[in-house]
Amino acid sequence: MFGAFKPTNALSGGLLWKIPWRLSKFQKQRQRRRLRAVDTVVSVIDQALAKKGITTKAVERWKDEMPIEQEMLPKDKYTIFDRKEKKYRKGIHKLPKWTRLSQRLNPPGY
Amino acid sequence: MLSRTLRKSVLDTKLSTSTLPPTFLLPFRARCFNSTTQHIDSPPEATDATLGSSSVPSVPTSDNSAIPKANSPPTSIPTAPSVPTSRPALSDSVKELLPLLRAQPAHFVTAHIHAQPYLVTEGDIVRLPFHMPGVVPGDMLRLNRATSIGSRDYTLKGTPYLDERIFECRARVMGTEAEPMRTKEKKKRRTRKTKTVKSKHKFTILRIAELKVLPVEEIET
Amino acid sequence: MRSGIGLPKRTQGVLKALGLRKRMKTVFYPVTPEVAGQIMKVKELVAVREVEKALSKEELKEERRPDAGYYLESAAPR
Repeated sequence: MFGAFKPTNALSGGLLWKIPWRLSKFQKQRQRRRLRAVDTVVSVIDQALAKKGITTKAVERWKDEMPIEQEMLPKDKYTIFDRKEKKYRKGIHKLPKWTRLSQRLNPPGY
Repeated sequence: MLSRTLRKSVLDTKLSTSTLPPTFLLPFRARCFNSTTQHIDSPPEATDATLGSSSVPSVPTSDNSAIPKANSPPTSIPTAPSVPTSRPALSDSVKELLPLLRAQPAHFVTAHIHAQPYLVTEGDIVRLPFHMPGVVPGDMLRLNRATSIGSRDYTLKGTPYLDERIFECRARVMGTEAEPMRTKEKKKRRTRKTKTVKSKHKFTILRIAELKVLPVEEIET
Repeated sequence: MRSGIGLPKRTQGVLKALGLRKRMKTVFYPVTPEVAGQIMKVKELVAVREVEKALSKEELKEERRPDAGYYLESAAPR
């Protein structure tokens, strides 16, 4: 039971990776920067199209639906809805490929 | 501990004379700080005594000098940039605090050569980590990109670079220095052949000949 | 700017269609709704800028080159 070979969770269960339940402040900062980078991409496209007088459905829809980084609540920036969690929220870093996806909206009321 | 005593000594001299202390009054260690990377803000009471309110020692310049530079081929020496016609004016806080920085001698500057920072003061000898092409010993170089310039109590920081009209920094080319010959054996596995690579690099040596902060009137004209 | 590795095949296909085969690759396109839609598909992976005309490879390299930070003021006799 004791000693060098005591059964820990990592040993007995085989594969066990520990993922912190929340983001660190540096992760949060990088997440905000990524959100702002996407915002600038959209605004540059929008301005370029507006100069030519063209509107595109994809850009218009994004602007209608998605909040920009400054408008988002901290809750929405760093957590996402999950129906299996206790308070219906989990860290956004649990989302696969979370640094390269846009996940800004959550079901209303949660 | 040291900084506290230092600060107290500065405070005493400042409150007694209510002007900037000449550097020879300061203890020896205090002057040593000028050549280190340590950033010392002036004590707030001292600034109150000398200036009024809302005076921060490190003031970022609002005017970001983006000067169109004549692109020269990479092997030749960069030529002097053409003076732009409309130059941005200095901000008020810079105008207010620049004479104070100028009044306190022994300045340091963080000059950037090929985007590499060199924290230098007057009389320093800099061994560049490369051989500068196209210069011979005796040449005078003008360093015109700096991120910060300061004295013991004041630091002017750029955003990201300082306006190059504020200061004059000249460096004299002293010559070149060579490193000892290095040999490296290049050996592939399961092969008898061994290649020996020799390398001996040259490095340019500079001496910071002149560093001064210009008065506001000269900058404005 | 960022890699599309591990993303859906459709996203990787959009990157390929835009000519972005490697990270940090730069391509130039006219402002059209088609290109705008393509960029919107991969907006998390790219950085966009509007330029007057397409820059050549040398101009791009010159843009990245940092400022020398010095110039020759007075030359010694040589």
